[in-house]
Amino acid sequence: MALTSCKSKEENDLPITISEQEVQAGKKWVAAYGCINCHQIPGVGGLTNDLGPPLGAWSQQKYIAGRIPNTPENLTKWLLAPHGVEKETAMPDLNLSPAEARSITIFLFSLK
Amino acid sequence: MKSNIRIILLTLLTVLLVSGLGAIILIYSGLYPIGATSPHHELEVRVITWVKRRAIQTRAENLQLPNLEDAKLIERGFGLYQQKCLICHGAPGDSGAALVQGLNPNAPPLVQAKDHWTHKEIAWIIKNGIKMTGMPGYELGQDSQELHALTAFVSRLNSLSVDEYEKMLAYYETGVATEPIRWLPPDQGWAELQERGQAERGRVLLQRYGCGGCHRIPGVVGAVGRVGPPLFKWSERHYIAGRLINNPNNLAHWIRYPQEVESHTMMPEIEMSEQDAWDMTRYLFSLGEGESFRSFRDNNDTIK
Repeated sequence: MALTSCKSKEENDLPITISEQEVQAGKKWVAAYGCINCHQIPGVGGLTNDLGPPLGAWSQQKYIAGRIPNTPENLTKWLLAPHGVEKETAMPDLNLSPAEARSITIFLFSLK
Repeated sequence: MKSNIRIILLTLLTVLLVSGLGAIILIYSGLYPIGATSPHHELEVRVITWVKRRAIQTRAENLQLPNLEDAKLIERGFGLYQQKCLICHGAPGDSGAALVQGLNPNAPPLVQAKDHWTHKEIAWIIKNGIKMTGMPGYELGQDSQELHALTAFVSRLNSLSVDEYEKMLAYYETGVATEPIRWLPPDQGWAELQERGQAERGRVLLQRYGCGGCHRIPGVVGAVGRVGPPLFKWSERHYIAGRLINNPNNLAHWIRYPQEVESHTMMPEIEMSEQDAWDMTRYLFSLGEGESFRSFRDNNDTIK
């Protein structure tokens, strides 16, 4: 498997190298959980919808939901319990397992 | 001349034969990824979507519908939606049951249904279902009143905020409404936007107020910030700050008083006139195709 460097900022708590396999696993969950029903995500085919913000170049985004810094740790937290971060958000709780949320985080941070 | 035509025809025939043979080999080899966990190819999605849209448009024209802007009808539709649609399609702030999240295609969220389909088309889909998608047809055992009520509520979803939805749900579950429930959609502010907003002035203001420090905004020089979400094709976006319906009234309010809508948002409160907010709103709604299909949706059923 090809190795990709994934160190994009100082506070990045992702491992320095993550395998393409891990990225692909995350991409699979993104498709299966229907994230593309609300977000435009490069590389994940489907109808393009605009309920939420487009997620292209996600790794460069500074904040999540306009309030918490966009670190991998925070993103995983947000994916697992969006209403814990912002009570009234339209982002649904998808009952992800921690491993799935982690996997999706790795995929989203691979979007440069 | 005659031989030219012959060459062209022969070439076409060969291409057809070869691609047909290729398709048969692909199918026979069993290589087509049939699992629901492997996403469709972009091209597949485009073709299927086109087929679906044309087939439904052609058939829905002949349906007869009453006036759907009727509070009683929408209220009845809410109850039916809870029973028949919620489990797969979810609702504002609710993703539906975990059981159906592995479906491919996923049951789409219906909050944007009215942006993409007319009342008649929505009614046709509810009545007949769609093959190979898991969407059942409710024709059997459903009187047309129920169909009209469901269509009315699904169309209302388009302008329904998470907050309003939760009030409806509380009323549905307890039978008690602590405050009046807005079954009919509120004014979205499209007319006021046309009347008051000046797009060009708004574009200049977006630059002057420094919005580009945090947002990427097409047409605004130096707007490359990545603190807030990109505002590409803004008119097609459904929510503001993940909670307000994106319409002119709400956007003009949000631009001036973000902290009132959501305390702790990173979006700063900048002192400005109401006119400035309407001008920036007008410019943002000129991005993307949304204004044309969303501003007419309430009354004009022919624009998609």
